[in-house]
Amino acid sequence: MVASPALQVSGLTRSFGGLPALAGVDLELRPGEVVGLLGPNGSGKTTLINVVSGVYRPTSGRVELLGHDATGQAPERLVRLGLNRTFQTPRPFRPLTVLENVQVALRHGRDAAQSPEEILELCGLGGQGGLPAESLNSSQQKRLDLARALATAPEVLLVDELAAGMRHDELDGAAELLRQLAAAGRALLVVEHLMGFVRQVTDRVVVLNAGTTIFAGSLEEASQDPHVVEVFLGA
Amino acid sequence: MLWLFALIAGVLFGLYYGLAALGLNLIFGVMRMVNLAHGDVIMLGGFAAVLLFDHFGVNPLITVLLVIPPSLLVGYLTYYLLGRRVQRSRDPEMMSLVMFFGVSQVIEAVAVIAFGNNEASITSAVFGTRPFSIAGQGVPGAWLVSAGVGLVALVLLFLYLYRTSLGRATRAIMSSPDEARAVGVNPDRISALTFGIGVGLAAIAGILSLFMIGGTTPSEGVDLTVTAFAVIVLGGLGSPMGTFLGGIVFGLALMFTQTYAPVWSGFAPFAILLVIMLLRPTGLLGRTVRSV
Amino acid sequence: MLIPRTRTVGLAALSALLTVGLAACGAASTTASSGAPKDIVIGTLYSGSGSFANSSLPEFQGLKFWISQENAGGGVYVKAFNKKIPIKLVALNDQSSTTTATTEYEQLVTQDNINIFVPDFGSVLTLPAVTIAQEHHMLLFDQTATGSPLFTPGNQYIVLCDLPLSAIWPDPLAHFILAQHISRVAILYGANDFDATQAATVKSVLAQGGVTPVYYQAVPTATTSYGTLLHDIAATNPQAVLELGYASNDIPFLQAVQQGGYHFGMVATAFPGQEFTLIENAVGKAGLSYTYTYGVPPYIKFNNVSEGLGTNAFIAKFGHGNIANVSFENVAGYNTGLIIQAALGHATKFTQLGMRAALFALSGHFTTLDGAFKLNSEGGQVGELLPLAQLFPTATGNEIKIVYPSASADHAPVYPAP
Repeated sequence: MVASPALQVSGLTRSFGGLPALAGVDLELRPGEVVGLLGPNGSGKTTLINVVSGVYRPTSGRVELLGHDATGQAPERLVRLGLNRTFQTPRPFRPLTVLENVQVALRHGRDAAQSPEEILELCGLGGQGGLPAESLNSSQQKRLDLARALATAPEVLLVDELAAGMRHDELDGAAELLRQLAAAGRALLVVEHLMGFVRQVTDRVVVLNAGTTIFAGSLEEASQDPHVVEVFLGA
Repeated sequence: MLWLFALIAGVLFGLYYGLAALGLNLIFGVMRMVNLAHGDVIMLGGFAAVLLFDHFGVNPLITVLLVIPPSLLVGYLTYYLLGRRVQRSRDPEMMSLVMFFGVSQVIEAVAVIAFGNNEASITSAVFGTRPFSIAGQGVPGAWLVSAGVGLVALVLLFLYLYRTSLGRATRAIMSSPDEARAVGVNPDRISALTFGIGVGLAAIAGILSLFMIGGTTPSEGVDLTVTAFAVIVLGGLGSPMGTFLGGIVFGLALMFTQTYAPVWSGFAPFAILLVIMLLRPTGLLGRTVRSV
Repeated sequence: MLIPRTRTVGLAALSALLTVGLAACGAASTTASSGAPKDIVIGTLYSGSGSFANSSLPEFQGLKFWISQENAGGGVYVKAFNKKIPIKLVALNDQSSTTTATTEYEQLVTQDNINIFVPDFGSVLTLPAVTIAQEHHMLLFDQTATGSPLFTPGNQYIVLCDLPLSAIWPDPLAHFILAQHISRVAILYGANDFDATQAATVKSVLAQGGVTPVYYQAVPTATTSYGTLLHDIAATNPQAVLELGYASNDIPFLQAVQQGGYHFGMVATAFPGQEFTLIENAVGKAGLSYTYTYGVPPYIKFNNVSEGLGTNAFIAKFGHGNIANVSFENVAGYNTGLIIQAALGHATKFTQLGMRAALFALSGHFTTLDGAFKLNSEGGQVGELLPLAQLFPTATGNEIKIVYPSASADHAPVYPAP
C-alpha cells in the first residue's frame, strides 16, 4: 500500500519583482521517504524550501501538509502543523546556549517525545548543551540547526545543504541520521550538491531547472536523462 | 571624600537610569522599533504616582505595583494596533521613529490638557528625610529605594529572560526573528508581551523619577527619551544587561562632573557616549554592528 | 483665578491660532476726531502649551483682564485724541517655541496693523521680539524678560514693564546676608543670562561687605538632580545656600535638600514667591518652611497707586477676594496693561516714540500694584524692587512674608532656620 503524501506541492510559483523564481513546481513527499532535490545554482531549490516553509508566500499554487491546506501559512503556524526546515546558512540564536536553542524549539513546536539532551545526543552534540551557540563551528551549527528543527517534532523535514561544510568523516554519520529519521516515518526533502551523499541518503530525486520540475525518479535514471545531463553539464 | 559620594551617587543614579532606559532597549531588541514615546510613558508614570498620592495617599511604592497591569494592557493594545503594522513595513526602524514621534506628541498634548503644564511631584519626605549611611556617606533614602527598585526589576527581568521559556523565546527573537519563527515562536505574542513589559518598566521609572529628578511635567518626555537613548546606545543596543552598565557609566559621568566641574555636567555624559561610540561602535555590551 | 488653568490650556491647545476680539463692538461713540483709529490694536503672543505655558497663560489672563476692565468703561483714554478708544486684542499661540514666536511676531508687526506690541512671557520668548521691534520701530512693552543683554544703548524701542532687571533682583537678598553677618555663603546658579546676572550681583554685593562665597558654581539650566551638588556644598559648611534657577530647578533642589536631611541656616531659591502654589504642592510644606525667596506682588502690597487697581482691589476683583487665586504672573499681565494705559494716557503724540517719551517722563513718579515704576536710560526697569521674603509654616501650609528690607517688612526674619 502506498501511503498518502505527507507533503503535496502543486503548481507552485513565486516571482520576485516580476521575475519567476519558481514557475510551477510539483512535488510529493511520502512518510518514510527521503527525496533529493537537485538542480544547478539558481534553479529555485532554496526558494522552494522558503515558500513551502512559509518564509515567502507563493504567487500561486498550493501546498498541502498532512491533508491540510498549508499554502501561504506563517512559519510558526507550519511548525505546529508538522513541517520544519534547516537553513543553508544556519543562524542559531547566538547568545543562547546550545541547550536553550533546543529548548525554545521544544517549547514552541509540537510535543517532541525526546528530551532536549536526547535530541542533542542524536545530532552529535551530546555534552555540549552548556556552550553558547556562538562558540560552535559551522559544522556544529548545522547540527544544532537540525536539532532545533527536530525538537519541533516535524512530520515533514526540509533539509537545506546539511552536508556542505561537514568533514568527510562526519558525512556517514549525518547520512545515517537522516536515514534514521525517515525510518521513524518522517518525510524528508534534502537539497544537496554532494552526489555521494545524495546517493547514500535518498530514495529518489526531483530535479529543478529555472524554477520548474524537469525530472522526478531515481538518481540512476536521472543521470541517464539527457535533459538533466544537459542542464548539469551545460552541454 | 567628595569622590566617594560621587561614586555612590553615580552607581545609584546609574541603576535608576538603567531602569529608565531598559524598556526602550527591550522593545528595540525584540521589535527593532525605537519607541520615541518612551519618555512620555515615564512622564505618565510620574503623574500616576502624583495623582494617586495626592487624592488617595497611595505610597509611590504601591503605585509601582499598581501600574504594572495597565501597562501590560496598554503595551498589548499598542503593539496590536500600531506596532505590528510598523514591524511589517519595509523599514521598521525608520517607520517606528515617525509613528512613535506622533504618539509622543499626542501623549504630551493630552497630558497638558489633563494635568496642565505645571511641574508636579511628591514630597521627598515619603521616603524619610534622614539619610542612610553607606561607607560613611549620608545617602538619601529615596535614592536607595529607587536604585533598589531598579535592581529588583533587573533581577526579575534576568530571571524572566534566562529562566523561563517565554524569556528564552524572547531572547531567540532578539537574536534572529526569522529563525525564531522557524522553530514555532509566535512573534506577535512575544512582541506584545515585551511591549507591555517595556511600557511597565518606563512607568515604574517615571514613579521613581519624582525622587531622582525632582518631578514630572508633560513636556519632559522628549528629554527623557534622549537620555534613555543615550544610555542604551552606551550599553549596547539590544542588550538589556548592557543598559544597566550604560546607566551606571552615565550616572558616574554626571555625578563626577557635578562634583568637580558642575558647569559641564550636562555635557559630560554625552561626551563619554561619543568617545565610547568611537572606540566601540556597538556600545559596551553590544554584539554586532547592525546594518541599517 | 477666573478660569481653571487646565481648562484654559486645553482650549488653547485645540487651536493653534486664537484671535480674541474684546472690543466693545458698535456701542462705542463713532464721532471720530480727525485721525483717531477706530480701536487700539494690541498684538501679543502667549504659550498655549509647552514649557512656558504655566507662566505665559496666567500673564495673558492678567492682560486680558485689564483689557476687559478698560473696554467695560468705553475703552482706554488716549491723550493724543483726548478720548476713550476701545481696545482690540490680537493674540497668537506660539506653543513655547521660539521659531513659531519669531514668525508670529513678524506677522503681528507686518500684517496685523497693531498699535501696541507686547511679547510673550520671559526672556527666551521675548528675545526674538526685541530685534523685530527695533527693525519695525515698534515700542516693545517687554513684560517679564529681565536679562540685561536685552537692553542696549542704541535701542529706543523697548521698555521693561513688570519686573526689575534681573541683575538687581538679588540686591535686597545680598544685603540681608551682610546684615545678618553671614560669612559662609554657597551660591549655585543656572548657566543662563537670567541666573548668571543674579549670581554675579550677589557676589559683587557680598564682596563689598568683605564676604567671598565658599562655593560658587554654575550648573546647566536643565539640571534636575541636586543630591551630589548639595553634598559637595554641605562639605564647605555654608550658613546660607542660594540656588538661583528657574522653577524647574528650584523644585528638585528643594526636594534634594529634604532628601539629604540637610539643614542650613538659610536656604534661598528664586521662584517660590512667583510660583508658590505649584512649588509647595511639589515639595510639600516642610520643604519650603523657613526658606527665602524673592518677594513679588501680590505678596508685597501696593494699595496707594497712581494708576489702575491697588493690590487689595485687584485681589478682590480678579481673585474674588482670595490671594490664593492670584499669581504673580496675573499681576504682571495686568500691570503691562497699566503701563500701556499710562503711555497712551500721557503721550501727546500717538506714535511709538511719543509713548516712550511719556513713559520716561513718568519714570520715578508713578506707582502701580507692581511697585514704583522707574526706567534706566535703556528702558530697563530699575524700580519695582523685589524685597526678600521668607516662608513661614501655618496650620495648612506656608505663608509668604516680606522680611527685608525692614521698611517694607511685615514679619521679622527667622535666622537661622529652626
